[in-house]
Amino acid sequence: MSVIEASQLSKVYAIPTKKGLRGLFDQSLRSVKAVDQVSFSIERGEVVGLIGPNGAGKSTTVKMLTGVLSATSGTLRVAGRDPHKDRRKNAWKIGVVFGQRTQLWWDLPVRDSFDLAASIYRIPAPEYKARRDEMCELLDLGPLLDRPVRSLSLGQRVRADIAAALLHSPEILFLDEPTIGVDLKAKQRIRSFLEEANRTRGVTILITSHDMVDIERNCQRIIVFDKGKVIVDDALDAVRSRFGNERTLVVTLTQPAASFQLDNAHIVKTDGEKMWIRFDRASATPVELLARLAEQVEIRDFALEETGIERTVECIYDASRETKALEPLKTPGPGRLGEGPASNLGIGR
Amino acid sequence: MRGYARFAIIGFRTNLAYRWESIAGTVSYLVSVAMGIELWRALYRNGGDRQILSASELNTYLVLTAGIRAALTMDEFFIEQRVKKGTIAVDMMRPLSFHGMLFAYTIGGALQRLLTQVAPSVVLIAWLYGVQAPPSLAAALFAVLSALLSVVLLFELNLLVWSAALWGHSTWSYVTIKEAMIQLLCGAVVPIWFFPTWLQTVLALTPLDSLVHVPVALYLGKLNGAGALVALAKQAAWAVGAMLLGSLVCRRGLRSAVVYGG
Repeated sequence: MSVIEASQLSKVYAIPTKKGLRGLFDQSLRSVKAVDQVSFSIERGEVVGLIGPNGAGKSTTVKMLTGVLSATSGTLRVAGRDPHKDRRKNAWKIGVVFGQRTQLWWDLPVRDSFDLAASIYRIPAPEYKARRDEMCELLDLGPLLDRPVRSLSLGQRVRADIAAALLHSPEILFLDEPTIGVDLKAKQRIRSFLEEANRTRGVTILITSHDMVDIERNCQRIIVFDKGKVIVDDALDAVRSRFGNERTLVVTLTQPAASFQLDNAHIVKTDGEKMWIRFDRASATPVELLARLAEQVEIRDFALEETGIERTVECIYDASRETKALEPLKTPGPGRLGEGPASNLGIGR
Repeated sequence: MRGYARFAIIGFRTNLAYRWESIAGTVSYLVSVAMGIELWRALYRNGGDRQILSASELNTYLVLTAGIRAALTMDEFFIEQRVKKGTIAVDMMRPLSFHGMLFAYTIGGALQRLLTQVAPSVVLIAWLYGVQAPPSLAAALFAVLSALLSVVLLFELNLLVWSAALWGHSTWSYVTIKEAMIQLLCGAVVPIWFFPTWLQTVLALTPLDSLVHVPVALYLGKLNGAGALVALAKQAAWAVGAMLLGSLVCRRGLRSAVVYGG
């Protein structure tokens, strides 16, 4: 059953056109389409990553889903309700963490903000205590409970924010950039906590993030935004096999090579004797490439790198910008070599 | 209700979080009250209209008005800061009314000021300058009831100004103008009885004289009998009216508040 249903959802902002002093006299506005006819639906228990460059429309979408913003057009249902019209009822069903803003009270100990959540959502005392203790255990918050929020590090604050957002056991958890600026250890803790919350409590989770590890680690499905539109919406594995066909062969030569010839591949980077050769899974194998290379230069070492989700997403944008239609690319983008006439690659400049 | 009560506790504790700020506030309050009283005493030594207020009534008036004003000091930029930081989004995702949350938070803060700053100061000043007891129990009760109504009324009037932040306005100038008007016209600096008659008539048509003048006049017994009841009824009507308007403005404001940023 779909817990979130968006259809033809759009949001248009009115932005003043004149800046500075002129803006005082000329108040004309221009409209900017932040989200443009977006449709998707999310099933209960799914973990979905919303990704896209800054200004692609992810955060605006999350604000509409959480009821903070009204949609300009289209329909939206979250747990069966219009989240903006039924903002206060919607609040019972959702938990929200904004990496950049906090729901904790800056000057007070963390405990007070948790108590507030317990009172607002009328959580019975024993249940509240049990849940709080569990969160403190999983997110390692115990020693922080009595410290004022202003004295916490960013990672500690975000962990406390996540706990506060989940105290009332929401059905849906929205995380907007939850790990932005957070150190590696705290990131890992947050990721495994989210995994746990999804597995044991069946919480539906929506994450927007620029950190592809967040996405890779937690999400089964991604929705990719670009310029207000959804350009890809698919299972992570499917996206990988569709766009992640590239592999990279890293070879170390005995000495920097002057020039040589290589079909069906291109060099993306060189660093002294080391070079990174990217090729398409469909058009070449690493063995072929190594053999071809070995005829021309002496190889000391090599390694094979799979394409990370980060590069995969880059490919998605390239594809969407170049072709508009989203077919997996057979033809290379600018500066890339693939099929077609063999080229001379000058290296060792 | 539990949620709102907890907001009041948060307001109370947030005020307490900065102990030195609280102490400095108390000192500045004491100094300004003492200055006001000394100024009026000097004026009174060289004449002054004792027909209207006796010297001891004047002392009482000044101590109480200063007390009410101090207890009614509110965080004027709470909404604006939350809009600017974007945390207004967090408030909008609570299953409570924003109007109610803000009211509870503000009352919590006022209560903190009353207990830790105003009450001890008033006791000290009363001991230094002398404060009259109210003439009757009824006068005392009316004064307390009226002071409670002023809290609600002032909050709602403030809210109308603060809400401009929801439409993206910077509210510093609005708040300054509002504060100057209230300070001057509510009777906190100059007792309204000393104003020209025409201005007193005009003020009686506004909610401004209800804020400070009415509760103190009730305490002094200057407003009594039917006059007291009329004044209280007027105050209550203003409070309810402002509350309805405040709630409407809040709802409208939140609807048009655009929460920018990632």
